[in-house]
Amino acid sequence: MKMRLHLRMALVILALIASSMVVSSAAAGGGEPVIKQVQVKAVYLYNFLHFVTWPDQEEKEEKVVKVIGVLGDQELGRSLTELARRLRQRGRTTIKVILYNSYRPDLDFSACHILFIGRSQADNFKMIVARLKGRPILTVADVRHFLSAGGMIELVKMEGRIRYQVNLSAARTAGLRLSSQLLESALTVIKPMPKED
Amino acid sequence: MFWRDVSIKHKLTLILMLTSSLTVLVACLAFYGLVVNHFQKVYKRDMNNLALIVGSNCKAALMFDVPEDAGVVLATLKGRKSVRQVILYDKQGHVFASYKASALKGTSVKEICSFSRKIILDDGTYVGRIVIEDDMRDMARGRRQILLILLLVGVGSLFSAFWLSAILRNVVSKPLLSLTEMVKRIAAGDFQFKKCSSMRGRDEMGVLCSAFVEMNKRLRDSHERLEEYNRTLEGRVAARTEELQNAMDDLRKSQAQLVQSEKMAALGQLVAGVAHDINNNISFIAGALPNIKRMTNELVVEMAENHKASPAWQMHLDIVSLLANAEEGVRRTKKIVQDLNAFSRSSHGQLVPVDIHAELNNIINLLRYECRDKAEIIRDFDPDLPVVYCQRDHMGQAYMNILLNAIQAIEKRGTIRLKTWPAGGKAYISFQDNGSGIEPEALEYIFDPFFSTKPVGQGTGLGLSITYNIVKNHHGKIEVHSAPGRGTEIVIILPVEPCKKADEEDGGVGGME
Repeated sequence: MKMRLHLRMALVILALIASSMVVSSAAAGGGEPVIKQVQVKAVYLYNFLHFVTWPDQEEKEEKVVKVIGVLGDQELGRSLTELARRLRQRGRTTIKVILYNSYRPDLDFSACHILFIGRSQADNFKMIVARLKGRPILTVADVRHFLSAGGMIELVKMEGRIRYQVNLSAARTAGLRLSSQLLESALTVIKPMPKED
Repeated sequence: MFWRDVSIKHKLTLILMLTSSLTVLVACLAFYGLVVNHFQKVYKRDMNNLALIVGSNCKAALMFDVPEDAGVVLATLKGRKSVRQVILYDKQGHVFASYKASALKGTSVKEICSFSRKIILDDGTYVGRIVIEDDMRDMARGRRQILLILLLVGVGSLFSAFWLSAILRNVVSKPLLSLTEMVKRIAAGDFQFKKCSSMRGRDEMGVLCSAFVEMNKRLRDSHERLEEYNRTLEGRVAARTEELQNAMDDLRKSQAQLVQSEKMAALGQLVAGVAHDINNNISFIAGALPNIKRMTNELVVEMAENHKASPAWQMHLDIVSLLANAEEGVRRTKKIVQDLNAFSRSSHGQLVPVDIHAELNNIINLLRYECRDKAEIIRDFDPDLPVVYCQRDHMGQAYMNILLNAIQAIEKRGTIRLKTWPAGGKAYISFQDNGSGIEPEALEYIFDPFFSTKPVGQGTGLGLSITYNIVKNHHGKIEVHSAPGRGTEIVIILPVEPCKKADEEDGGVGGME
C-alpha cells in the first residue's frame, strides 16, 4: 500500500507539472487544447488528498470517500464535480464535492477533508480560518496572506504557473500530516518552531 | 639422475602438464583476484549509490521532520535482500527513522559491511546521515561460485593438456620409438628393412628418418659388398694363384726355350764348322775317287790283255768292290754334311704365299715309293685353308721330315692321315700315323738334335730338330701327341699372315753356312 502511495505521489507530481505546463502554454499562445486554470486548481485539490494524512484516517481505509468543500467559487466547483464524475467512471478513488455559495456562520465544514475558499470570500477567510483552527480540515485558498491568517495551503500564480505555499505549522496544529514530497514541491514552507534545540 | 631415465614420452607429458597447470593456476588466481576486486569495487559503489539515493529520497522527510515518509522510503529497501539494517539520523544525531530486515537473523558482525553517507541539501545544509548495514554473505557466496567455476576450468584445462600431451607424444615420441627400434635392429646386424613405416612428411622427424633410411641403405650396401667380397675372396685368390702359376710355368717354359735356343745356336755354329771341314776333306776323297776308278779301269784293261790269269786280276776285282764302297761312303758323308748344313743354315729366304695342299701333294708324290707297300695316305684337307706365307723349300723339308718319320714308325702296314684346317688366323697341319708311337720318356727329347730312336746308320737324328727350327723361324708351333703302340700325331701350327719379326730374328739363329 505504501508502495502504491509512493508510486502515485510520483504520478501525481508529474500530472501537476504537466497540467501547469499546458495551462501556461494555453495562456501564452491561446492554442486549441485550452485547459483552464480552474481545471488545474481542481487537479491540485484532488491531488492534495494523496499527500495529506488525516488523524482519523486509518491507513487501510484509503477507499473512503474524501470530501472536498468549495466555498464561493462556482467554476471550480463544476470542474471538481466533472473530475469526480470522470474518476468514478474510471473506478478510481471517489471524491465528493460540496459547494457552498458564500459564507454563513451556520455552515458546518466538519464533513470536509479539504475546504477551498474562493476569492469571493476574501473578506471572510480570516474568520473561517480562525473558526477551523485546530480542526483536521485542510484549508486551501488562492487569496493573498492566507497563510499568515492561519490558512494551510495558498495557491499562488507565478510566471503563468500555479504553485503553492504551505503553512506546516498550522497543518500540524490541526493534526494533519503533510507528506514531505508535497512540502518539497512547495514554493515556501512555514515551519513550526523546533521542539528542542 | 632419475630424470634422465624417464622416457621422453613421460617427460613430455610431465613438462606439458606442469606448464599447463602452472599457467592455469596463475591465470585462475589472476582472474579470481581481478573478479573479486572488481566485484568489491562494484559492490562498494553500489552500496554508496544506494546510500546516496536513499539519503536523497529522505532529504525532504528530514527537512520537514516527517519520519513517516522516511520510514516509507527506507522500507523500500525491503526489495534488497542483503540489506540488514538502515538507520537514518537527523542532524542532531538522533535516530530519525530506521529499517530492520526481519529475515536476516544470526548474522555475525564480521559478515556485515556498513556504509554511511551524509545527507546534504542543495544549499549545503547538513540535514542528517544514513547508515546502511549490508550482509556480505551473498558476496562470499558469489566468490565461492567463482572459485568453483575456476576450479572446473582448471580441471578441464588439465584434462585438455593431458589430451594434448597425448597427441604430442604421438607426434614426437612414436617416430622416436620406431627410430630406436630401427637402430636396435641395425645394431643387431639386420639391414633388411627399407622404409620407416611410421614416418612420412618433411618435418624434422621425417628428415631424420629419411636420412636414417639412407644411412641404413648405404650400410646395407657396404655390408653386402663386404660379404660378397668375402665370398669371392677365395675364388679370387685361387684364380690369382692359378694366374701366377701359369705365369711361372710360362716363364719356366720360355726359360727352357731360351736355353734350348742358345744350345741350338751354339750347336749350329759347331755343326757348321764341322760340316765345312768334313766337306773340304771329303772333297779330296770325292775328287780322287773317280780318277782312281778310271785309272783302275785302265789298269784292268791293260792287265786283262796280258795277265788275265795272274792273281793281280783277282785283286782288281776286290779293288773295284772297295772303290764302290768308298764311293758309297763319300755319298753318305756328303748327305750327312748336307743335313748338317741344312740344320745350321740360316733361313734367309723370301716369304711367299704357298698353297699348303699343293705342297703336301708334291711331297706325297715324292715319297710314293717309300710308302708304297707300307702306308696308305689319307688326305683330309679343308678347302677353306688360306694361303700361308712361308719359305717354301724349308717348310717342304719340314713336311718331308715328319712324313718320313711317320712312314718309318709304321712297322708293317698302316695309315697316315693328313689333315688341315684353319682356326683363329692360324693354319693347322696334322700328320697322324698309327705306328709304334713314342715312349713318354722320349717325348721331350724328340726335337733335340742327334736324338734318334733308329738304329745307328739309319738316321742322323737331325730331322725333327731341323723341322722344329724351321717352324720356329716361321713363328709357328709344333705339338706332339703320342702313345706307344697307338701312333703319333704331330701338328704344325703356322700363322697365316707373315710376321715381320720372323725375318729380322732369322739371322740370330743360324748365321753360318
